[in-house]
Amino acid sequence: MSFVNYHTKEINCKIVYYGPGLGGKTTNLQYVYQKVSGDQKSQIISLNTENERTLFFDFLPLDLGEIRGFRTRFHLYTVPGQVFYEASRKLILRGVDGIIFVADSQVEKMEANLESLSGLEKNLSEQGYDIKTIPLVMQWNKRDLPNTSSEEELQKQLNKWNFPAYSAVARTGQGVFESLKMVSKMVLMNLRGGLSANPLT
Amino acid sequence: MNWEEYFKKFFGKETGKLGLKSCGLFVFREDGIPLYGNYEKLDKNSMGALMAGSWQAARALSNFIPKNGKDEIFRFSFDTSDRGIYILPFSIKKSSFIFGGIFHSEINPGQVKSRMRQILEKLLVEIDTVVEDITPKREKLLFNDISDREMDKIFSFERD
Repeated sequence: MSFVNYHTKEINCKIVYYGPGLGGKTTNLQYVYQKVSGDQKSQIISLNTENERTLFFDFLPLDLGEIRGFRTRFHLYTVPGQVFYEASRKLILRGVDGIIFVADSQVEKMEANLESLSGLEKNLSEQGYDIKTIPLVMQWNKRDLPNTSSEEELQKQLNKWNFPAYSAVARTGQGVFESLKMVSKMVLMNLRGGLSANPLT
Repeated sequence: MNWEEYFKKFFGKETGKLGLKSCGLFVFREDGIPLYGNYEKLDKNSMGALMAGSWQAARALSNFIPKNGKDEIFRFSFDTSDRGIYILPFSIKKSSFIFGGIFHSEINPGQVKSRMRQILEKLLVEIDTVVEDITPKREKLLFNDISDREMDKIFSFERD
C-alpha cells in the first residue's frame, strides 16, 4: 500500500496489528489514540460487535511529522482476532507495509498465539508476501499478569525469524510506542523510491 | 500534475455541471488511501478506510455468486429513498481505484448514481489521454538509513 507522492512530498503506509482474540490489539490502538495530541489527532474508527469485540477492523490514521522533507502518514489497522473472522483478516492484510504481532503472554494463550501466527504466515503467503522479509515486530503483551510464559519461551515458540520483540502492557502503554516506532522505522527503510510517484505529466 | 491535482480539477469541473451539490464525492486507491474528496466535513482518511473496507468486503462476498461467464463490473450501493452511499470501481493502467459518493436529501437517488457513472465514464475517456506510464520506475530505497533521533522526532507528538 505504501504510497510515495513526490509532488506533495507525502508518504502513506499501512500498519496492521495482528494476533489472537483478546490479545490487546485494539488496546494498543486506543492507547496511541489517547496519546496523540493537537494537529495529529484524527478519528478512531471501530467496527465492533455489541460486546465490543472487533468485527471488521479498527482504524486510526496517524499524521506524523516530516522526515527528510516528506510528510509521513501511517494508517493503523487492527484485525478481528476471533478465529471465525479469517476472511476479514485476509482483506485487511491487503497492501500491508508492516505488522505488529500482539501475542498474549498468558501461558494458556500459547496455542492461540501459535494458531494466529500460523494464519498470518499463510495469509501473507497467499497475497505474495514472505513473512521473513516483511517489516514485522513482535509484542509480548500482558506482561503484568501473573501467569505469563517467560519471554525466552515466547521468543522460542513464536519468533523463529528473530524479529525485534518488545515486552508490553498495552493497557498502561508500556511497549506500545516502542513497538510502533520500530515497525515504522522498518517500513520507512523498506520504501522503494518510485512507487506510484507522479503518474501524470 | 499528479493524481490528486488532476482529480481535483476534473471533479471540480464535472460535479458543478451535473448538479451533484448534496453529494460528497471521493476517489480512493483501492486500499483506502484518499486521492480526492470534495466534502470537507468528513475526514478523508476515515472515509477511505470505511469505503475501501465496504468495497473489499462486498467484492469478496460477490465471489459466492455463481459466475455467468461475462467479465462483469460490480457496483456497491447502500441507500434509502433519499440518502445513501454509492461506490464504483475503476482502473487506470495497472492501478485500481474506487469512486465513492455519499448523498442526502435527493429526490431521485437513481439519478445521482447515473450521474456518478457518467462522470466516471468521462474521466476514463479523458484520463486515458493524459496518463503516462505509471509502472514504478525507481527501485532504489527511498531512505538508506534512518536514525533513532529522526524517528524520535516524528513521534514527538506523544503526550505525557
